[in-house]
Amino acid sequence: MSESEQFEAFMAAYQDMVYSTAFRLLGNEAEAQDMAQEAFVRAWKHWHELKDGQTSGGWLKTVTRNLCLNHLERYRARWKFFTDLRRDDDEDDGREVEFAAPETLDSTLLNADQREVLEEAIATLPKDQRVALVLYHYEDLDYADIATRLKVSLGKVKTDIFRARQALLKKLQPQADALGI
Amino acid sequence: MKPKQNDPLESWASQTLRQLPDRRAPAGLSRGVMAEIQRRQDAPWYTQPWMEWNLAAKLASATALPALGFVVWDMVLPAVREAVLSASVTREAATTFQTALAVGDAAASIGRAGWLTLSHAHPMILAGVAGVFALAWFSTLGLGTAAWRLARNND
Repeated sequence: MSESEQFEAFMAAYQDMVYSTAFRLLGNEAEAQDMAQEAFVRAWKHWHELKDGQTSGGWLKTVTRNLCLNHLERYRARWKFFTDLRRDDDEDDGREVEFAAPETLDSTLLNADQREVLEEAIATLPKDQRVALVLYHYEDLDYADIATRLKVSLGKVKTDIFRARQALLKKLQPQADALGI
Repeated sequence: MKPKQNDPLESWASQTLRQLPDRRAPAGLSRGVMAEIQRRQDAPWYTQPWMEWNLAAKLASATALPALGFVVWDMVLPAVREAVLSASVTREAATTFQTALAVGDAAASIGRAGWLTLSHAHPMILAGVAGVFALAWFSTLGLGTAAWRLARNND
């Protein structure tokens, strides 16, 4: 098998994972496709290291995540100065926040409709909430890592993730009620 | 690594979000990647980012650029000036060029005077002047931005 055929097989194995990571972070199909493409182009540049490695999936995921975060950072830096009168962390007064959470919440198996609702709900979350939620639940970063990576306060990360979870719960609840779950 | 949490909302979100399968990548992604790789491979080496040039090209460019600047400054510009002054162009054109050259001479004189001042001034004075310029710059930028935002908010 030629190098390029091996690389195409590698792409076929990982393209859904790479595209999903990008889409969840960016919430936009065209941008996710661009970032996924760039991630694979970089993988090709490092192909001699990746082709025999066991960690190529992790490498690819990390590169995709960093590309997406850099993309979001560039976009934010470009527009923030002239468009945001409020600071991103206006709501954070620097104190640790304790949130009242429901006593119990049972997770049930989602059906196809609910999965679609959830996908849609994640994509339409405000950007700060979506990125923090995805980094926490899909990329397995803790609050402090997310705060460092996004250059925001710990309190803001906690608030964003809490609000994102609540928004998702609200979106799914009517579906669950309707289906009698 | 994250510590285990007892928050029910967090547990619910973790379990629920884990159920989402990966999205299917667009059909054209793989083709697009191969085309992009080909396009970058076909591009001339000098269109690649400078950091990706080979060492010889980097060294050559790092040496050639200052040399080129020196040649232009020290040899080409005086030659052009001589050529312009001695060329058999019309009187009107010569006047125009002479005006341009006079402006160039004035700018060069100001530059030389500035350089002379800078090279003889005390470092603390230079730092103070730079500070005043920076302060003026950021004040102007800050005031302009505040005014723009206020105007935008009042719309």
